[in-house]
Amino acid sequence: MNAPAAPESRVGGNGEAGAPWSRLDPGLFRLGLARSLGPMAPIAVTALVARDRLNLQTLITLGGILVTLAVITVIGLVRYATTRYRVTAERVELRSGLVFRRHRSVPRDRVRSVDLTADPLRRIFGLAAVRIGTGQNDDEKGLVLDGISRRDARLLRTELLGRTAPADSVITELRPAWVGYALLSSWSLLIGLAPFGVFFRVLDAVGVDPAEVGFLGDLWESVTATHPAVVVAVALAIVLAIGLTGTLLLYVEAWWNFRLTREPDRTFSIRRGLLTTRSVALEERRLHGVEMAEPLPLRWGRGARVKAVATGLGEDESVVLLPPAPRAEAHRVAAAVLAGDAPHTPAGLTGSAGPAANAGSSVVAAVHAGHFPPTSASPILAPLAVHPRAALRRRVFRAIWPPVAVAVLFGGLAAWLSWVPGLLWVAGPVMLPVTLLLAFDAYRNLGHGLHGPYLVTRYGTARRRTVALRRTGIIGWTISRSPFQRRAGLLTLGATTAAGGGIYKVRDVSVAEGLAFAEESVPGLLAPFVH
Amino acid sequence: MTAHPTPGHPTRPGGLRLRPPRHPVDRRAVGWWTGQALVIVAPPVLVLLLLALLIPPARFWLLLPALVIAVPGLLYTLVMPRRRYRVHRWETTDDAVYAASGWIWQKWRVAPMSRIQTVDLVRGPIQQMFGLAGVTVTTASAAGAVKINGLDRTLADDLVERLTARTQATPGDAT
Repeated sequence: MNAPAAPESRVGGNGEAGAPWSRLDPGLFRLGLARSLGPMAPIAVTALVARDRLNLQTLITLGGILVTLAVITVIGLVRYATTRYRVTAERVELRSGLVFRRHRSVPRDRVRSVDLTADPLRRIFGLAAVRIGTGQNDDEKGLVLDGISRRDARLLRTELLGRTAPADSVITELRPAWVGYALLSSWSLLIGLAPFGVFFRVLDAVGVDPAEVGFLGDLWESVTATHPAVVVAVALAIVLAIGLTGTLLLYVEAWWNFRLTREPDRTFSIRRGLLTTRSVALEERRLHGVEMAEPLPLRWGRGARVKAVATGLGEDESVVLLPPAPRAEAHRVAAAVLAGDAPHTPAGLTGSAGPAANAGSSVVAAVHAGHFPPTSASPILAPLAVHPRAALRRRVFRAIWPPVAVAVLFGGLAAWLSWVPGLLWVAGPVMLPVTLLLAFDAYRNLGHGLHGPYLVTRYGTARRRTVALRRTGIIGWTISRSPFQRRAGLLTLGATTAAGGGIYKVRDVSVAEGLAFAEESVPGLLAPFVH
Repeated sequence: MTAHPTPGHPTRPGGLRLRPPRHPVDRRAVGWWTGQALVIVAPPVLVLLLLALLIPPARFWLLLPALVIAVPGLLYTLVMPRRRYRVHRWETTDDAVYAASGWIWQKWRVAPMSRIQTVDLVRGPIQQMFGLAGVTVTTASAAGAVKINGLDRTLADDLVERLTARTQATPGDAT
């Protein structure tokens, strides 16, 4: 392992299968240089031009940036020079590092996903990053090949996932009209405020007092001269305009060319991205269900998002099966994705290691022929059982105390401190109708039911979620009860699973109903503990 | 469904209730929880008292928060361990591990033997002082660990061994 990994070792130094070691693409070398020289040049020029007028703090900041860039460049070059990879008949191997030499190897039959990412810089240099995952939550078990040419990356994926022809069938594709749903994002306000935050942070970092910036002073003067209502309206309009433009751009960047396809080898493939292109493969075996999310604004626009409930994803990772789009489309995608999943669930349950072990099933044949088996209705559309009235009482109670707290707090403050406006406590009563509406909506959204092989649960108001979880994927129950729930005869039933969030809850169901539901979902698991 | 072959458990809609697990935890657990509560409550109170002793002019403003912390703290120290002792229970069958925990918010957890990934013995410093140990049973779920704390140490050792032996006999973890 210590022998210098010169090009001669292409013949396969370890004697294993004799596959050649390959280097990363030379484009990575050029990319590394471009990425650091790009920002370095203007900084160096600025520093030279303005060298007499720079104070120490600024000098240190600029120097720090230069040194950091230089270090990053060197690290990148070392990585390029020392990294070798190869694909043998049995395994994928990656060697890297100068001082700390690392040798990672992943058995090929463990490879579950090969994900391609290319940000704009990598795309300019024709590169891609390939993440080879083993379908386990542990990142350490996969490996990342960053900086091979995109052609090689695609070949590698084809080779590792055993894909021959692109005989995929499209489940859904982004339609330009959906971009409108970006405007219904709940992030618009935050995104609208972000540029101002960044602006002042930069001023602070470079050591400029905002009051010294000429146009800011003028602005402040004109603001204080105008009526406050006008100022608020204009400020809100500006923030919203920036926010909405931002969400629109983000949507386009993230979801342009979005395409969900079913590949012949029982994998879903998701491709997306305008500047940074991403491509993710998700084995049907790993898919334990879907989650439909409808944040409040999106719900007003009759839109929804769909996410996969899958195993082998990192903590904050998620596989989006549909970006914000019309609700009907969300139901269609959920049905199509789960329909292909249903016929072979018993096989998927046993957790056999061979991914394509029982590939001859009718699904695969149907997909090869270019059409799906007749899709049953989406489990998400299944009629759900209504929860007891006590669940509504719980939500109404939760809706009442925050406005009361606000009213008492402001009332108390106004009585105590003379400068607090006396009418602020009105905010409480004003909030009340809104929180009550949310409470009723939250109650109406509650529901649970079984739909064939799926357990379905729905809850939430600010973000309504409907989860369809494959019953065979349930690996335990968690029942929790608060004092209120104990008095009201309610419980929250949590189905634990290896997929997605780890636990999916049926909230505030009556004790008898909840226990019966658990028993019906996974017969025999809870029964010994119920009487 | 092949993972849970327990026929003969018909569901009876209406009147179903969750039965508490069979075994209580060790009686010494009350002492352990009291110790845990004291570790949280005592230091701030003691520091405030000490300062009150050292700084006479500020005595009132130091004793007041000390009292504000001490009274609910004392209640917590007295009530929590006893309530917990009544709730915390555990049980293992041939097919599953079942445990109850909590005091105000209570939780019952069930994990089938066939889906258990690891069985760990946990011994915190205070737990050790009381000759106790805990058993943590994890499944492939990020949220489903079943924790049984406050067991006699030899019993916990024994339980870990038994569970490990049983889980090795049943493969598959649903990932």
